[in-house]
Formats: sequence, structure tokens, C-alpha cells
Amino acid sequence: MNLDSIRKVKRSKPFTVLDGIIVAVIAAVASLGAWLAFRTPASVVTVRAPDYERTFPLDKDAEIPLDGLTVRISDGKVWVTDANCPDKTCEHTGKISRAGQSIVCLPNGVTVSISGEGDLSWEVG
Amino acid sequence: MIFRLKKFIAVLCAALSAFALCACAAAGYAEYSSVAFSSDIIFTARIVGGRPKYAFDKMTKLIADIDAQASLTKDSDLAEFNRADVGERVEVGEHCYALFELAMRYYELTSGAFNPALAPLGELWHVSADSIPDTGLGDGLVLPSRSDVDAALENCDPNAVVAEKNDADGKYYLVKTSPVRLDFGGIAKGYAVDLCVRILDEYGVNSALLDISGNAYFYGGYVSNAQSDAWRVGVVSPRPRVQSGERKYVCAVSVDGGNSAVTSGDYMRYYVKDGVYIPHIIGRDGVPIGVTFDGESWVNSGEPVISATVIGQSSAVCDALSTAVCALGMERGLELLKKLGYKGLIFTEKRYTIIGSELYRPDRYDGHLAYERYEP
Repeated sequence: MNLDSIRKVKRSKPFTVLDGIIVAVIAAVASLGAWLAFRTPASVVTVRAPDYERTFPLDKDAEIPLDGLTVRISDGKVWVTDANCPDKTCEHTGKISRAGQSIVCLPNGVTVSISGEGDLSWEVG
Repeated sequence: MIFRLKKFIAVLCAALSAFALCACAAAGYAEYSSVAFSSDIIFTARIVGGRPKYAFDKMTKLIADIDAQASLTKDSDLAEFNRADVGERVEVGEHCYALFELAMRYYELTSGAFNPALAPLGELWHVSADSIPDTGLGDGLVLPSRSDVDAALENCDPNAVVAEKNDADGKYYLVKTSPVRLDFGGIAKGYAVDLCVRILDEYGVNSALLDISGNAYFYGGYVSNAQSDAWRVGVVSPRPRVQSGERKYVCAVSVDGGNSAVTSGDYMRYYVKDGVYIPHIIGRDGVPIGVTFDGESWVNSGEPVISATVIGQSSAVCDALSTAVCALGMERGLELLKKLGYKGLIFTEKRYTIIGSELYRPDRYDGHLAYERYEP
């Protein structure tokens, strides 16, 4: 074995500062991507009406006037007010706040549903 | 130089796999879709993988077909059969025929505790879907007499219906031999869910939740944050009896993929008349559960089942059994579930019992520990 060549390998720097920076940048980008993809999505409220579909964050207060009724979002709860339909089933549903729950107004063709993740995956009963 | 190149390739591979992982996770995000067929039937699906849009559309169409054949409110095959005279042969669709066969099988297996021919009693007690008071108060309603109930029971035997499959023309018929009427409300949603599961198979879905008005089915593992797990299902607390607003859970159970869970209870459709609590579930004696005749009037007595959750492979069976367990009471309901190999969770006002599942305390917990555990 040539001692000289061993010393040469020892002296050479396989990882330079630039390599370190490249690795750090890639790691940062990858972990940002992973965080974006893996983070728990916050609950969202989907409001559907004839010719209308939009989603709203559950944690931001909003008032959504539609034909025949108004959807309100406040304090992480969603409910329907000012319904003009005869049965008012939608108003009687009350306030909903969990993923999987929905409010339906058949006469006006409106559905309001919450999706997202809580500690439970569903409910029965 | 070669050393450098190898390192570059290694770093590139690491970066690429990290991005690929992110892309997979993003594709695993579950979409919820809901569609209402009537105020009584709301279909919700949460599908991950496969072709969700196609699967959802096909399931929606299937449910509409079943609804058109087997609901009571519309001009369905079943409504036509119910209007028909004794001896009149009524042609029905294949779903209607299949539902009848299934309902009869569970009528036999539950010794009549699940009965698809209770319509006259439902009306007599004002507990059928269209006659129950919204207010929960029975003011102005008249409770039937004991003899009214006995008379109505005469026309509640589903054996008075004969089903016929004509092999020559491939059509299905129902004929009644006495004036009975059928109601598949206690089994049709579960039946629809079971058929929807086959559609999920067909479209290569990885994980899904299906729910038709409380008949839930869990397909594959629960996908959350790109992890697959058992489903944690909250059981809505039967007391206090709230119809709307924010509900709490009496407990939560862990359900493996490939199972359905259905809950029946006395808190869903009920009213109070002169201090007597009248729930919508009618027992084999023709009287709502927890109600008895004391010789003079109807009174509440006994320890009726207030919530029964049944977990198992077939949603139609869970649907029928959850009603049957309520009608039979805790002890006999539990025996029935054990005999048929179904899991479940039964609550009375004082006690609870559970077979084959694990209990959790969910966030919005409203105490199963307040009930005494019953183990036979």
C-alpha cells in the first residue's frame, strides 16, 4: 500500500461547504413540502347551491347570503338563518361544527357540509 | 470526479423520493361529497384512491334506483304494492324483490323482532315518519286502546306476502294474501350501502366512508395524514335527547375496514303524550318499547334499550339487527348478536354492554362510565 496515496485521500475533502449548503437547501425544501402535504388540514365548510359552490374556512367568521337563506359561520360553528322555505328543516338542524356533519335545505337546493379531521373519523347514532 | 458524481446522484435520489412522498400524500387527501334524495335520505361519501368521481356518480344512481322502487313516499313499486288489493299480482323491480327476501330472512332470524309489515301500528301510534309530531309533544294526538293494538297486529304479519320470480320473463312479483303493507325503511339504506361497496371494489378505491342517513360503512383503512388506521367512530349520546345542535358522544368504538356500523335508538323519533314517552320502535307485542298497559292507561316501565349499535360486514344486517336489538331488550338482543356473530354496543338508561369492540373516550365525551357495565 502506498502511504502517500492514503494521505492524499485523507487530505481530500469529500464534502465541501457548498455541498453542505446544497444538502441543507434540499432538506429544507423537502421538509417544507412534507409539512404542506402531511399537516392536518383545517376543517372547511363547503356551501353548494344551484350554480354555486364555494368552500370557506371554519375558523373564520363569514356571512353568506344565498337565494332563500343565509349561511353563517362564527366561532367554529355553521348554521342557516332567514330561510324562506315552508318547513325550515335547515334552520331546525341548528349549529354544526364537526367534520361529516351537514345542513340540507331541499326547497332551496342548498347543502352545507363540514369536512376536515377531528379526533374521530365518523359518528353513528 | 467519479466520487462527486455518485454523491450528486445520491442527493438527487433523496430529493426526488422526498418529493414523490409529498405527491403521494397530496393524492391521498379525502374528498367529501354529499347528496340529498329527500329530507330522509342523505348520502355522504369520503373516497380516497381509485376513481372517486365515477364511483360516486354510480353509487348515487344506484341509490336513486333503490329509492324509486322501495320508498313509501313516492310512486314506487312498493307504494303500488301497498295500495293493491288482496290477491292482486304486482310487478316490482329487482331491488324491491331482494329487499323483501332479505327482510323475511331477518324477520325469521330475529323471531319477528325485525318486522317489515308494521305500518298499521306505526300509524296507530303516530310514530311513522310522516305522522310523528315535529315538536316532540303529542298534544291533540289520541293513543290507541289495547284492543286497537290487538286488531292492528292481525295485519302485521309479513308472511301474508308471497314473492314470486318468474323465470320465463325474468320479472318479479309480490302478492298479498291478507291486507298487509310493507315498509323497508329498516333495511333499505343498509341494502343500498352493501351494493355501493361493490361499486367501490369495481373502481379500485383504497379507502372510503359511506353513509346513507346513519348507515355507515368503513372501506379499507382510515386515511389521515397519509397514515392508514382503524376507524374511530363516535356513538352519539342517547341522553339528553337532543334532535339538533351540538351532540356529544357516549363513547367511541374502533371499527376495522370492511365493516358497517348502524345505530338505532329511542331518542331519534319520539314524542311525549301526557307524560308518557312514546318512541318510534315497536316491539313484538305491538307497543312501542318501554311502554306497557297497566290495565287503565299506557305507562312507561321496564328498562328499554335507548341506543343499540351493531357492527358487522353487512350494512343491511346491521340495520335490521339494530332495530331488532331495541325491540328485544338488552339481554335477548345481546344473545341474538352473539348467535349471529355481530359486534355491538347496547345502552339502557342504567347499563351498557359491549361485544367485540374497543371503547374510547372521544373529545366531546358524555360518559359511558355513567352507565353500569353489564356482562352476562
